[in-house]
Amino acid sequence: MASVTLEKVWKIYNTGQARALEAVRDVSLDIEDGEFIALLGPSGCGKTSILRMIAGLERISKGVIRIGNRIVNNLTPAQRNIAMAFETYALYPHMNVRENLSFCLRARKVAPAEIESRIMRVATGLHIEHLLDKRPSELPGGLQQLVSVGRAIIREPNVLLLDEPFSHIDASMRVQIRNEIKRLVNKTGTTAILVTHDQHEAIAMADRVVVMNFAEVQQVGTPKDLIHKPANMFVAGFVGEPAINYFPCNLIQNGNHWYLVCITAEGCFAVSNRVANLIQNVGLTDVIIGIRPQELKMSVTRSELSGEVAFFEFLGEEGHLFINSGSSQITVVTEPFLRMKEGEKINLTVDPSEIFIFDPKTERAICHGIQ
Amino acid sequence: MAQVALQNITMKFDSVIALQDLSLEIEDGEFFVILGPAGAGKTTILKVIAGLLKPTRGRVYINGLDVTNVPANLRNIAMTFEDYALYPTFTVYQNLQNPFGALKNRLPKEEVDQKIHQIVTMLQIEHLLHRKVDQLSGGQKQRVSLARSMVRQPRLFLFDEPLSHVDAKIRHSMRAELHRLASVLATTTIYVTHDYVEALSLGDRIMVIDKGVIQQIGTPSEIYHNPKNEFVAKIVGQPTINLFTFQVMKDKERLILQDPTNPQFSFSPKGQAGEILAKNLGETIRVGIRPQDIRYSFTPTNQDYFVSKVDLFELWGRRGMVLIMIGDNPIRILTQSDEVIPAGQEIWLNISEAPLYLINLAGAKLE
Repeated sequence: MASVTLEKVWKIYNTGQARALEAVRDVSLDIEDGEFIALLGPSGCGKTSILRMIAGLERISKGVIRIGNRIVNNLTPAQRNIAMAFETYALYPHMNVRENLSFCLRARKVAPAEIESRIMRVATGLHIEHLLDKRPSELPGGLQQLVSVGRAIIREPNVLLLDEPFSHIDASMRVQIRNEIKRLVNKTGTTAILVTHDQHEAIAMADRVVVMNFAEVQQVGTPKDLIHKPANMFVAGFVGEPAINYFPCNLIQNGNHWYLVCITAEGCFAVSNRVANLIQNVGLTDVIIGIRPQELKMSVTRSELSGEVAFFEFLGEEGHLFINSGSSQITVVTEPFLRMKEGEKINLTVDPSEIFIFDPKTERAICHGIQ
Repeated sequence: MAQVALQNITMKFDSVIALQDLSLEIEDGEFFVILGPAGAGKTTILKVIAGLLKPTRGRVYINGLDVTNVPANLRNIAMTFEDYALYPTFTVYQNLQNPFGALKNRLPKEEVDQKIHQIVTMLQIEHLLHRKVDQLSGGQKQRVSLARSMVRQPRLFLFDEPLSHVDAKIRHSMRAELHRLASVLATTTIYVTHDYVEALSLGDRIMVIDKGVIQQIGTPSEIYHNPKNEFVAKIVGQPTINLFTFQVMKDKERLILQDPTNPQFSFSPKGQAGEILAKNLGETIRVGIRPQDIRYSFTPTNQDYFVSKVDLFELWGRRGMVLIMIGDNPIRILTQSDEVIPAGQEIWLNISEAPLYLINLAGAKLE
C-alpha cells in the first residue's frame, strides 16, 4: 500500500523525430494511499500510457513518478511492487485457479501454510472459493477476471493497476464482477488505479476520477464534482448519460434584470447580476449553457424551455423523452411511464443551480448555477 | 411493405441445433426486435429471412408467399451488418450507388442520384458524399451503411447489431434517428441486438430468444413487467433483477416467504401475489424483485422492515446503487437520488410491498 505521485509527467513517442507524438502532456497527480482512482477518457487520450509508465512498462519521457516516497523512474516493474490486471485476463491456461492465484507466491518461496491462508482470504473475498480447482477455460470471462484480480492482489502490492478490466465481460455480469473487485480492494485497503473509457464504470467505482482528452488532464474530481461542476464542455459531455443538452444563448438586459435567451431553442433563463457580471468580465455576450437531461422537469406553472414531444423511450428503470424545441432537440430523463402524444406541447423547468455556463471559444466553464 | 411469417423453422449446422421449431409472425410496418445473448440464434434468423441460409425444416413467408426457395437477391430485402461491410476505398457516393449496379436494378443515372440525394438528406450525411469510407468515424460509417440499405427502397429491413460498434453517446443519438426513420418510412424492420436498452427503446414488439428457442414475444412493457420466465426477467433491467429462493409458509393467517438457508430472512408479501402463493404453500420457489422496487429507510419503522448493513455503494449518474448482503444473498437497490450511502450504514429494507416476480424452480413464471 502506497501513495502515487506524478510530477509534470510527459510521454513523447519518437522523441526528436519529425513524427514525434505527445501521448501524455505535463500531467501532475497526487494519489493518496488507499485511494481508488479512475483514469477516464476516449481511446488515444493517454490514459493507458500513464498506467504503463506507473507500471514501468514505458519509459517516462519527462517528469517524476513516485510510489510512496521512492522515485521509481529508473526501477524495473518488479522493483516497483505493483500488480496489474489486464483487459484480456492473461491467466495461465494450463493451471487451475488455485495454481494461478499462488503462482507468484510459490515462485518467491513463500511458506506453504502462508500461501494457503492467502489463497483462502482472496478467494473468499471474491466469492470464488468453490472454483479453486477449475481451469480458466471452464469459467466465463467475468469469473476469469476475478481470478486475474485475485492473482494481482494476493501479492499485497503497493498499487493495483486495472486496465479496462470489464470491457470483455458480458453486460449481465459486469455489475456483479465490478462489485466483487471493489469490495476486495476496499477490504485490503489497496491503492487502485482503474483505466476505463466507460464513464458509468468510473463514476460507480472511483473515489476520484481523472478525466483526460488529447493527452491532457481535463479535470480531477469526485464523481459528484464531474456531474455537478464539470470544468469544461468535454467533461460535461463525456460524463453523464444520456448526453448533456447544450443551448447557445445571448445575454440580454431588460431593465435591471439579466436573461439568457436561447438562440436555437425556445427558452429563456433569468440570471443574477453576479452571473451576468461573470459573463461580461470574460468579454462575452454569447455563451453556451449546459443542462443535464436528469435536471429538466415538466411543469405546468413555469416554463423556462418549451417545445413539442418528438418521441418517448421506455427503458425499464427510467424513460427518455425527446423534445423538439426551435431547431434543437432536448433530451429529458423521466419516470418510466409517461403518456405523451407526439406533437404535444410541453413546458420544462430546471433547478437554477444545475445550469452550467460555458465559454463557446475556450469551452471552459464560466460558472455553475445562474444565481 | 411486408408481412413476414416463419413457420416451424429448425436450423441445424451438422449436429448443432441453432434454431428449434421457431414460429412467429411480424406485421406490416412493425419494428420487431430480436433480443438475446451471443449464440442465441439471432443472426441465424435474419439470415434465414434474408435467404442467406436455407432452413433445415420449416417455411418462410413474405406477404403470404412461400419464399423458402427464393434466392436472396430476389427477395427485395436489405440487410445491414454489425461491421458495416462498406467498400473502404470507395467514396460514400460510390457505396450508395452500388446497390443499383445489380443487373435487375439498372436505372437512369438521374433517378439513382435523386434517390441517393433523398436518403443522404434524411440521414444528414450530404457533406460526406465524396469522402472515402476509411476516412469516416464509426457513427458516420453506420449512417452510410443504413443509407445503403435504404436507397433501393426495400420492403423489409434487417439490422444485425447495427449500433454495437459505436460509442454510447452516438448510440443514443442513432437511436433517436432510427425512431425518426421508422416513423417516416414505415417499412417493416427486424432488428437484432444483445442490448436490452436498444430493444426496449426501439421495439414495437420484442422477441427474447435463448439457445435457438423463443422465450417470449411481447411489447417492451410486457417483457419488462411480465416476463414469462427467469431468463427473460434477467435479460432486461440494470442492475439485474434480484432473485431469491424462498419457501412459501403460513404463520397463522399470514403467508410468509422464508429463505430456507437463513432464518433471519423472511417477509410477508402485501401485493397481489397472495393468490398464487397460497396455491404454492409449502413449495420452494424463486422470487424476483426489481432493484428500484425496494423501499428503504435509515431508521426503524414498522415490523415489515428488516435491518441490514450497506456493503457497497455506487453512484449511478443521478441515482445510486446499494449492495447489501443477507447471508450469501446479494440484494441490489437502485435509489431515487444520488445521496451517498456509506458502507457499514444500517439500513431498513421493505420488500413486502414490492411487486414480486414469482417463478418456479424450473424457471417458468407461476400463474
